[in-house]
Amino acid sequence: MSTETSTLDRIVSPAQRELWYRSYRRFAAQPMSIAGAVIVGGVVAIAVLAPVIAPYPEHVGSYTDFANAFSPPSLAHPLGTDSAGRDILTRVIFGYRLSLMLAATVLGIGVPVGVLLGLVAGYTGGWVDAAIMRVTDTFLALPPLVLALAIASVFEPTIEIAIFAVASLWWTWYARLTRGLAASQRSEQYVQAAELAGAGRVHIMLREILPNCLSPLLVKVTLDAGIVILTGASLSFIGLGVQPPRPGLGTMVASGTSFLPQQWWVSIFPGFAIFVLVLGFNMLGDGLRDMFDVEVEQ
Amino acid sequence: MRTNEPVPDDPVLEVSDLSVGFEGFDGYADVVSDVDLSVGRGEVVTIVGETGCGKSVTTKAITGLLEEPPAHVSGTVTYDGTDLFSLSDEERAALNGDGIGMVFQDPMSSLNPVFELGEQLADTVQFGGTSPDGPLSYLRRRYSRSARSEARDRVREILTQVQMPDPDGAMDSYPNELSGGMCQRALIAQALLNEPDLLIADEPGTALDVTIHDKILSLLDDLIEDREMSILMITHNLGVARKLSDRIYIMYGGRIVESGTTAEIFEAPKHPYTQGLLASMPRLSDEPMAGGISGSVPEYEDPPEGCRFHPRCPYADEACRSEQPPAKAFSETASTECVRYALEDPGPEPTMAETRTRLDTAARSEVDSA
Amino acid sequence: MGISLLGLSVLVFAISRVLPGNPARMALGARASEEQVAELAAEMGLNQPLPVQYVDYMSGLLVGDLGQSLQTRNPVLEDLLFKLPATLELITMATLFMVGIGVPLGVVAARNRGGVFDNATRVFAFSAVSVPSFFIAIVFQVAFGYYLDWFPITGRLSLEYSEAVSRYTGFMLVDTLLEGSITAHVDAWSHLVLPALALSFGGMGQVIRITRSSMVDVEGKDFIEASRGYGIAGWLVAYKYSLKNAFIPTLTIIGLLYAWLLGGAFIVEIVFGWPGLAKYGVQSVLTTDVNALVGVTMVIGLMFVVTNFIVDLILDWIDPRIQLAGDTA
Repeated sequence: MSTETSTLDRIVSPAQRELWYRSYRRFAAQPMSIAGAVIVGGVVAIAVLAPVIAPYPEHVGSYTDFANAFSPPSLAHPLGTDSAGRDILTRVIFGYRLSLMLAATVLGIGVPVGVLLGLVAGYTGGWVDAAIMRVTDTFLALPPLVLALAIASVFEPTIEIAIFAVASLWWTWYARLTRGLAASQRSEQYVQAAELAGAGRVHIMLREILPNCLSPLLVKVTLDAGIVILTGASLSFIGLGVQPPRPGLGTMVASGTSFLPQQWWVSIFPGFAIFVLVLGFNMLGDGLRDMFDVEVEQ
Repeated sequence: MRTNEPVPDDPVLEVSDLSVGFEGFDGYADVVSDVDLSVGRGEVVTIVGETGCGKSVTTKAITGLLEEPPAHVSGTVTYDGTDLFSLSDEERAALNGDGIGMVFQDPMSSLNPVFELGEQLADTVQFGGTSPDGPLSYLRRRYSRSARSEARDRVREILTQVQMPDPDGAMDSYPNELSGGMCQRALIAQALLNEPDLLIADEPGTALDVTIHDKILSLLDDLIEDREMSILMITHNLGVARKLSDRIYIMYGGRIVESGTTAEIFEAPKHPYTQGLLASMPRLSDEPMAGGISGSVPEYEDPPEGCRFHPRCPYADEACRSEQPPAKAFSETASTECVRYALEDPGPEPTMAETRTRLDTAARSEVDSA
Repeated sequence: MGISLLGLSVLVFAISRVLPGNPARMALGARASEEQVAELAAEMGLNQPLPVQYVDYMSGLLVGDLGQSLQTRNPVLEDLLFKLPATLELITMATLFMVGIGVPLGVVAARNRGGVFDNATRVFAFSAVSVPSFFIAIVFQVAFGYYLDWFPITGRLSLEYSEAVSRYTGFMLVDTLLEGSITAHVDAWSHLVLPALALSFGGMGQVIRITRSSMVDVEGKDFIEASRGYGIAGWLVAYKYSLKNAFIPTLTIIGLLYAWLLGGAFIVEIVFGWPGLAKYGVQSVLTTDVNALVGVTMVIGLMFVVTNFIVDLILDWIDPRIQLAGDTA
């Protein structure tokens, strides 16, 4: 056995590698987890490369070509064209882009806000905790769609407002989850050690407690991505989200409902696209849950 | 243990070459290896060993409660002349309900929390070992007034025998409303309901506090006297074994390392492990207590070479590391697996005094080097 | 519980009053004169400071006056009461589907752990949870309505019966029976199936997974092993002893889901043209019918609270380890 440690060993110790390998095996134990990862990865790639790979990028906006309207799936238009003659495949690709941006924005706002508030509530306890929890309870009392509707209705029904509406609800789940985690960590030894050592509260919250909460949070974020996308699609479907002519997936489904069942592809393909993406996130999230061996309240 | 151990005539339970392995994430673990044991009619036999030595797994293999993957069971188990592993699931279930009774380890977690005690126990009377053919048959039997009240009478009778205070009240209560001692009695009752010939008891009373534990042991004593039952008991407590058993098997690392009558084990133990256990029992005499045996039970995925005990044994040497020691019989009932007795030139023979000294020295040197 | 409702009312009220538009104007239309709009605005109390408006509203609430709907011109309370049964019927049937199909599937999957059925069910459950409710609704309509023609596509009752059946309770299944018409009753069922099934999908997936995983959890418990040790047949252990334990977490989820269905009902009601509360709610959003909006939201909040309460009661009944505050040991 050589006594030199290879470079790889120095960056990632064999013990750490063993841990990762075991985690990966837990993740891969279900083939669905891998499928989920592939789907999500694939869609992300598609969304990022959208301008490059979409066959008819000019169809994304208010392009019209009525001669070509409602053509069924064909080689030129694998997913057919819609009522304005626009290529559906292109619009679905860009629709994915919109959906992912929506999810990223909502979670990008909601998660940090919720986690911070949850940390504060869970670690501080007392009336701060109670106050924050009362507020979250009120928000949690409603299904996201309803309150999002209420908020979105106040202002113009656009996707930006919809994002704001959904994000303004979403933080509550993270506050609650993080608060529970933080509260249970509060009496752990490493926290008390840090307190004794004189570490400031912020430091404790961010540097000590937070890293231990990451696994459940990561699982929840992944699963939530799917739910956010569904909610956004539903809002768009009703008319309160992405407005035409932008290629929101839910909006596209709505625009096609009048043409069912004859020109089924206008509604069905975008709808199916949503399904596939959300399915991917769900399977991936489940796999992550197995990997981290975590229980997350949904 | 391959031994010349004489099997008591007409044993009610006979186990040969029982081995159990488990597939796990970290590899394959041989948790029980080559176990031979037997229980005669009316005998009380105890398996003694530390936590993790495989004694619970052994009994679960005997009663067929291990799930086949990830467990792999090999060997033979004969009950009353019948090969248990050749039975179908239904036949096994019938046997478990009828001839073999099992008292499980943790009284608080071994009772179903959402059913009243009476309900669970009466179900055992009605359906333990005699399965209904389907939901209709179940409903008919369960809700037949006469059958049910007969079953409940039987439950009451047994609860009284296990000295349950207020059996009727207990029957109407949920397990979480009962004390630990009461739950333990309920568990014992549940095993006795169908008049088993063989009772298997896993650490009875261990989870309870000492005074209750004592009472449970006295109860078992009384029960043994009143019936002609055979008992296979598991414990980590030598004192308990001494009090109730006719014969004892000492188990370590998934193997039986020594066996004998209670007298033989306590008066003339042969295996260093047994001697170590005895030496660490607290006594009321003037003798100073030896330190415990240092170290811990082996990892079953990667057990030590040769004798499984050698890393902790005060007599260990090269011979111990190289091969599994063969069994040597000392009498009709006693035998041991230890190199010291099998070699031509064994070196010092383990005796109680010698073992005690060696353990003491080892303990002291540990303290010094700490 | 009460505090949440109160907070909810404040929130919704505040939102609904902070409007860029003028509700009075919207109610009267573009051709109304300024005086008329001002009159209505004064009548609606829109010129009062917000807290005063809130107090007015709440005191009206207590006597059952929720204001007037701008879209239907009826008192909001009347609208709500009229439309609530349709939504309740839909949601209840969806819940029945969720439980009636989801729980058995979950139990059998757990019994078949690792086998083909288990994996197939798992894939189904994931899919059910991932599909947007409007999409599954549309698919059902197209597949079972248009192509197979097994079920009608919209509404609660076929035209030929709507005249004949009077409104007794608002629950079509009940009313058709009270009217004495079996054919109408069957017709009501056939209208109910597709929307309820579509609505139930998301929840069904969750019920399947929760049931399966809690069955697996329970099967590993000591007391279940003990039951098998006493010689009780495997299926009896599973369906009597394991299921009752496993049902507890499932029931909690079902309670949450019932209320969550209200959100999903919006979409389904729209797609299937179901004349329920959710459709009313969406329309009041789109037309900024403030009173209706507040009313609908309050009803939904109330239903949430009531449902959770009922679930707590049932849980208390099933699980002897839970005790409602106030029980003595």
